[in-house]
Amino acid sequence: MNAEVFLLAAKEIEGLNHPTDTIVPVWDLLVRIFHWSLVLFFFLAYFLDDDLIVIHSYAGYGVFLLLLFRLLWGFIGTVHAQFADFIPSPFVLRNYLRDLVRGYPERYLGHNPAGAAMIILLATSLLVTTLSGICLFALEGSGPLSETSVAHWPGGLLENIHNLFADLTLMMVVLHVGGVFLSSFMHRENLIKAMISGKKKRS
Amino acid sequence: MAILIFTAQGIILDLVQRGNLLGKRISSVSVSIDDIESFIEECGACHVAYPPGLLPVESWERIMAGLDDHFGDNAELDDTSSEAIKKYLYGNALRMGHPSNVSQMIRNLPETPPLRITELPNFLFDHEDVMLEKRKSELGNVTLSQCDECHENASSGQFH
Repeated sequence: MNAEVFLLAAKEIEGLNHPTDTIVPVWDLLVRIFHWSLVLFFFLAYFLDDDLIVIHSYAGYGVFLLLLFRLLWGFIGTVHAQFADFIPSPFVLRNYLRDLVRGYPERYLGHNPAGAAMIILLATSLLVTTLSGICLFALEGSGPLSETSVAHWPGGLLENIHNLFADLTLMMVVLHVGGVFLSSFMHRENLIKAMISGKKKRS
Repeated sequence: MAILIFTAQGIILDLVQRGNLLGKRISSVSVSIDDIESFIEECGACHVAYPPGLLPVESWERIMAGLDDHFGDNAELDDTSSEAIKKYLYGNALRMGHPSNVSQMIRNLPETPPLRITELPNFLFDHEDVMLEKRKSELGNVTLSQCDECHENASSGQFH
């Protein structure tokens, strides 16, 4: 085999294994349903508060149950849904943020480290919001904790926590969407579309 | 984790039990339009016709039992109006497990609930800023019992 043929063959193999424009599935169906249901239920709960408390509570329950599902899916879900795939070490996160500031962040097929950090903060904030909401509901004799000692917890403090974390969540949503736009722009890809179709270019 | 699972299980039970979305917002006690009219006519003659959902039954019972000295005034009623008003108040009073747009008023009620809405723990928490402004005398002449000074639709139970 002469050198030229060998090189061609090598290129072809490389081309087959690493096609730059191959579309691959990244976000599975449950991850996508989770994401957009969470958006819907969060905004429902956020904007329909005291006046429509029954709908507010259903929406809040929705958020809570979705978070529990996602927690489970982070262990048994598909590749890029797994926490092990995207939870960054502080070292990796720091390096990614440094590269981001310098303008050449590495592209990730799944969540990038900054996005992953945002997701963890968002989920934690939503969990605090929903749990404090369920506690407040218990103070009014409703919901799953109404027959427990939670029903005697201080309402003022709980309400402050509930409102604070709901507002924090909203701020984080803004940052999250900002990050999505920034990343989409830097890597010339549509990440919003990817969260709808579930598919992305391999590289 | 166990707490989360326990809570999730409770949510599902709650969803199953509640079934219909708006069932609990409507009182199960049948109150006629006449009862409501007596209430608005008699009580609303002197002050805001406070929605019954703002105080628990115990408070309304004590108020109705002491109308001869109603916060310093004689507000005695004839038996017919009194009975109609009692039916309306007791049937729609603040109670545990009935989510509504004012159900948060029941949070942290003391053993003996107050007679004044303005002494409910949740009322005090929600009106901290108003009391501060009052002290700065911007709202100097308004007392906290005049809900409708700030909440236009107070007598129809809309406070937000």
